[in-house]
Amino acid sequence: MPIVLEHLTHTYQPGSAMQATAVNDISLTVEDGEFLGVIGHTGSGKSTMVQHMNGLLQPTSGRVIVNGIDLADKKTRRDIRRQVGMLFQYPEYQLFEETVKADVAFAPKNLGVPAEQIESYVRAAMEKVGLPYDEFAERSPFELSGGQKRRVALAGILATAPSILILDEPMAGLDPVGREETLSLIKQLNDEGTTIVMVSHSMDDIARLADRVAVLNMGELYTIGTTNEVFSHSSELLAMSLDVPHTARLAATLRERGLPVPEGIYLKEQLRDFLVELYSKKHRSGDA
Amino acid sequence: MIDYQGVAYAYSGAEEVLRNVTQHVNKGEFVAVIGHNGSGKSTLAKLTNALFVPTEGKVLVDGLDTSDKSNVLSVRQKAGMVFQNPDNQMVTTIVEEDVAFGPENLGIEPSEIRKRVDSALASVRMGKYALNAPNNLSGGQKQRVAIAGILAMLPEVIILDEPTAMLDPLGRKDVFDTVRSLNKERGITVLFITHFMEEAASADRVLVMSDGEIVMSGAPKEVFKEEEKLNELGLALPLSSWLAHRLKEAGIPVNETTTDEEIADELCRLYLNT
Repeated sequence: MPIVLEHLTHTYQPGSAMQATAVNDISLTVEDGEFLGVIGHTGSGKSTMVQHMNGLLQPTSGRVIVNGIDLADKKTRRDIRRQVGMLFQYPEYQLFEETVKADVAFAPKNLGVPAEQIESYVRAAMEKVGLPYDEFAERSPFELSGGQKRRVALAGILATAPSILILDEPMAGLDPVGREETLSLIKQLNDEGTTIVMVSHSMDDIARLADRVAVLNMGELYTIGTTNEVFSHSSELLAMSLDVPHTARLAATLRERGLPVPEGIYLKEQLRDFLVELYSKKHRSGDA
Repeated sequence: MIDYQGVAYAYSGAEEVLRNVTQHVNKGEFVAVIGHNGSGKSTLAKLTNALFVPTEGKVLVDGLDTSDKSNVLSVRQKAGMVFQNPDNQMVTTIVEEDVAFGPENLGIEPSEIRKRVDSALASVRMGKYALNAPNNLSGGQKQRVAIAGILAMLPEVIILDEPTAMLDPLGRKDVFDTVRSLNKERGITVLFITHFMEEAASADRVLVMSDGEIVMSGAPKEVFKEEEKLNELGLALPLSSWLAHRLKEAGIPVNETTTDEEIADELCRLYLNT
């Protein structure tokens, strides 16, 4: 059980006039190798919740246990940071070294990877994100494209060989090519066994990748279930004025207009298959 | 309204990042510009309000040549620009002061400024936030304030460079709808740069850029019909077009569509005979 949240509550600036409870009594478990999507409005507590998963924030009450270790213990927290990589929004703004290899080496150095091993860690991480070491190691991160910069940032996180990755809006602001590259990289990491927790506003990306989805609303866990279960209740999500995958929205429109589109369709391929099937049925019965 | 005549642009001493651009944008037209990063979209935007002047050819905004220095202020008044990052565009600590910044710089009468600010904020539905601090607003609200700042200059053209890229889905829709209605109701010409195909699908015309050139131009239906060509350029289709193409491949006689409403109409016609 890599990540267990038990009654996690986080209040910012407790006792002050600005006191705000961002996360309220959330309990959930992320399984080994799982891909958990986290969705909710801006301000629903998504980022606050996931920042507990590598000990960046400490709970006001409740517990966070990662790979069996309670993160309340300061001494062990540092080891957990090597196991849990965290990619923030717009991570390319945090690149600062003169060369790509120095930037990627920053985290492993800081987290105490022995000096003689660092280059092999950096090399492996760069190859993994599709930036061949010999071609990119000496280049300045600032002269790369947006998608490449983001891969450098991701390599910096992979350089500590984490078993869990927390991703906060990893695709935001990328162009379509950069999005696809980043998405398939994340999918590949998950296929190779990395546990992934991904916060995203893009329901289409979540629908494509996640095994399960947690829906946060006003700091509380509204629901958690398989991607299929959660997006089968698209009308509920829409009523909370949350977004749903575009296909689910279109399917809802078609239902309202009288087409017999069943609930539970949220991928474009599903809608295509359903419509093709329906047409051939109609055609057959029309012939008969 | 905007004329690009054989336009090229290069940073000093470097290769051209834009070339062979000859295009005309009509008054009141809503034009979406799509293309991958580095295709020249932002350069085109900056050439349109004289932030850049062409190294070859000419850009005319409402007849004014942008390379003539004496035209620069009028060009910027006529063609205002909204950028991607809402946090980089706020210059003051109170929303209405931010909106007043442009007209104040033009030396306009305070009473006239007051009128313009109130009306601009009302047009983007931000009137009740006039006295708020911009840093307490959401991303979508900040972009609407940035748009109000442009409106206070009484522009003919608004250029938006990926204004929704950093917003959540609600903020994105909000900003897009605001711009679309300013275009429809007031006839403001819009150049809307975006990575979101669904936004481009609702434009009057779509320009597709690649490697510094405009490689396609047409109504959304004409452009998104060219699936293979778009895929080669690394661009996806709007859901509506994708679905129409797949159904057509399966032998279902569906017409070309680009928006959700259009595909819904088509499907009702085909499946329900309505």
